[in-house]
Amino acid sequence: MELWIGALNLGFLYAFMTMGVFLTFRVHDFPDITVDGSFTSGAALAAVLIVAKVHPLIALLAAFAVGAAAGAATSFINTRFNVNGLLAGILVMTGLYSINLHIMGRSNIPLLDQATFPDYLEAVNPGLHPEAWITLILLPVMLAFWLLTGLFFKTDLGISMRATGNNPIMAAAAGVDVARMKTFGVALANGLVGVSGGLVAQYQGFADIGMGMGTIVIGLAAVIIGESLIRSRSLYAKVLSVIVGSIIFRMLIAGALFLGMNPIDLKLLTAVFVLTTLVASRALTHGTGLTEDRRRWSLSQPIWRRIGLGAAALLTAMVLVWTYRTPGGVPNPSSRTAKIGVLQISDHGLLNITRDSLIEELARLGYKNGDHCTIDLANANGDLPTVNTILDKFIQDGMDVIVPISTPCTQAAINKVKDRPVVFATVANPFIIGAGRSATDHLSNVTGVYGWVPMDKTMELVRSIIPGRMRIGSIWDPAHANSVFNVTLLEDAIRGNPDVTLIGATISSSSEVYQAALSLVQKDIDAFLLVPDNIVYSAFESVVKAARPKHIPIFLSDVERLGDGALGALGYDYTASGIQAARLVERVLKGENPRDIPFERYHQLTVGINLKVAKELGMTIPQGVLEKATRVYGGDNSRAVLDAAQ
Amino acid sequence: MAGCRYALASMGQHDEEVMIRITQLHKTFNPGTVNEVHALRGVSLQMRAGEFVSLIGTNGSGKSTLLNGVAGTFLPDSGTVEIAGEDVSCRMDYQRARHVSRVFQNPFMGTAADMSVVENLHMAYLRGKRSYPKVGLTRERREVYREQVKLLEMQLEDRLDDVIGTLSGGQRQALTLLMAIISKPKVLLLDEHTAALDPKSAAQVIHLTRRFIAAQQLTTLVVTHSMQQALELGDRTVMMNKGEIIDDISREEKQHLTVNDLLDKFAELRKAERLTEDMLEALRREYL
Repeated sequence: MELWIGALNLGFLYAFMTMGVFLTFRVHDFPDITVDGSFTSGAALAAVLIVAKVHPLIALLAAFAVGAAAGAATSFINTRFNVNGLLAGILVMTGLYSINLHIMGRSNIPLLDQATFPDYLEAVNPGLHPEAWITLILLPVMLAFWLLTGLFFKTDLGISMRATGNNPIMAAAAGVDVARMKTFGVALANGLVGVSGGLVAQYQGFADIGMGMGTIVIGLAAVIIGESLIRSRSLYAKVLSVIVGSIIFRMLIAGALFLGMNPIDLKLLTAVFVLTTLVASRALTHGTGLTEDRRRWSLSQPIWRRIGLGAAALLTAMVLVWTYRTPGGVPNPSSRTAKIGVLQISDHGLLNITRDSLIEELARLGYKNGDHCTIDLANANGDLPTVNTILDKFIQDGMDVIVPISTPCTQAAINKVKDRPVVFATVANPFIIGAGRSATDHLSNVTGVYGWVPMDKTMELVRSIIPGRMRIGSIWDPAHANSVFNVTLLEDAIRGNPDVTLIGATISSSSEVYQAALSLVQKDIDAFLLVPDNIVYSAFESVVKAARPKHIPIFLSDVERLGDGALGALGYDYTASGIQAARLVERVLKGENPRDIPFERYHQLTVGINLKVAKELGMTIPQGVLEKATRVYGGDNSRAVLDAAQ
Repeated sequence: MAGCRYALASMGQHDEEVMIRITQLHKTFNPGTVNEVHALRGVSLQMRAGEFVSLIGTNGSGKSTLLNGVAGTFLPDSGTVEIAGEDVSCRMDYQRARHVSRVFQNPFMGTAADMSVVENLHMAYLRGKRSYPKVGLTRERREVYREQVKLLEMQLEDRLDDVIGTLSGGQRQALTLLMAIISKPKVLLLDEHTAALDPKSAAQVIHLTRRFIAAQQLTTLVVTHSMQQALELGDRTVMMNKGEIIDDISREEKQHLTVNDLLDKFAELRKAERLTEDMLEALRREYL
């Protein structure tokens, strides 16, 4: 049941956002993209205030205010400066990215130890399942939201607002200041979006700079799904359809995961589902302006509606049968097998290495999928709400251990999963996300492997190849906590060495990396040292392209990327992370309490050198460095030399 | 906003009898571009309270622009517009809406298609008032609207909750007319409001127009394309050409005029070189 209740709760929380999208898209006929930014703004401000010990309800009011301000800015730009509405929204959304970072002060604010609204609710929980209790509380809230919003649209202000959206010329003739009314409407809409962001942040246990991405699409999909399911002219029905659409959208994703669909296909599924509902609902539309041929379709409309209802009923029945067939959390004691749920945030090189080595080591330890245990591998493909839904599914499927790989997954997992062990892997710093205060003093159901990149050792490698005075250039995304943390480590490694200067350039998307690299080349750097940063590493080729003409060597932390044109790499071997995590999983499955298992740091370093690149640059690599290297690329007999040395 | 500054300087004394006073109104659209149009060239017009004036002229003569100048959809380059002694030259349309209501040529323009008949009427009732988040459309108000809709004699009283989009063009235009007078404006502006209707609906709407204007003694300015209508409707007929008023026919004069007389008048004007031969031809084509 957890999967469905979790989806229902997410649907409720996202309903405020969906209502905002309905207000702009349907009532004001205004394609407002601001929501991608204002959703995060609401989450960011709410999180900051909650950390400052402000009551969650007041934090939500502030989330409303900041969202409304963003909406007002968009509408102001649109109406006063006559900038196209879509463009105005894009401008504000883009600007909000910086503002949100300023609000948060970093890219991610954990709320695990803070008093959020689920905590307040939990304090008065009469003993129900926490998620079910949230649902029970949210139900009357949503009911009130529904009735109040419906009523609002029927007030004089609501009627004026709807008329303004429907026919601005008529509204102006009736004395409505169209620009002001539009600004008010768009502000109100984004205020609701901000509230939604504030609620979701509290529910998932953190606010993240990237959590608003794609919100507009989700909102539009939910609005369209809702209005094709509930077709009525009644205002109350329309408002209800928005809330229902938001829930159905979450249920759809939960259902797809439930049926074992690859999360990669979720976006495609969304698009197909929305298109199908659009087309199907048009077939059901009776009415004006149809050709004779089409009218015959609409004459047979009751039949179509019945078919539609029948299909819906069938689907519901299937889902129910499935629910009963899969005994959620009640394993059959006679054929007890271990169930392990592995979840990663995206298809990233390091994460894949961790996952593969984890699976391999588990198999070696006797936990092979389908043999003595079930291993469920899930990938959220970068979508944070999906992470929550996957976790709900893991809980529902009665996983014995949940293994989140990567920081965001771990953050969501330790927030949601309280009743079973969580073993995280490939997390840079578990302490800043609230998993524990120290390696031994941590959440009682959580353990795992972590480690930040040894920038000091990387610097040593750089210095042993390039001694003397040097200028180091580095590029990172300031919106990512991990990247910023890694830069501090690098600064620490350089501090106290007057010969080395660090020159930085920041980016916010992979398309900016090339230009940032060029700017550093222009500043006469002697080497690139790239701290781990997902965006920069994904655009590594851009750095190579900028560095090559000036013969500037590149160092980084990911040995896997060495073959692409870097001179040297030093980092942790993430296979170690997977292997160590697998061993922790085994200990937990054997009955050890996670509370008694200290967090482990990965210990295995890898050092790599690309001799081909060294030759191109006209550099010689000291024999001592080569001897320490665990991987050497492009040498003629270097492998042999290395093997001999070892 | 040069026109606005000019306007403030020329505030005159208010004559109780005068409802609309337009003084030396100038407007050029798209100045400095190839699309530059000098739509109004110093138009002056006075209308007494309760006067009903019809405005004729060829396409591009500036008659609709003059009407919009009174409505406030644009601000003049220079000149003033006074309504009931108040200089409104610098006010936008929504600010003038308390006193001025409009019926457009396009029957879809005057109503909100996705909203119900009562909601549209309520919007009209809210004209010039502030709309608060309170339920103003009460059961009592609905009954008021039901009675008012009965005046249209279109059985719309049974369709109060129907969405406007489901009504015919004639019904929509009749409703727009009702909406225009429901909050008792000082000035009613009709912009060829029957031109897009079929003859039967047009006759119905004209009939209603006459009744409402007579009942409320409204100061009305109507732009029309029909010479017959121009003669039958209203006290005065004003003729425009190239952004200027070229003739002003009084009620007394009109009583003896036929459509042919009007055309003769055009011919006379041509002799006085105020109308060119092709302008006259255009007028003939349009009005006959």
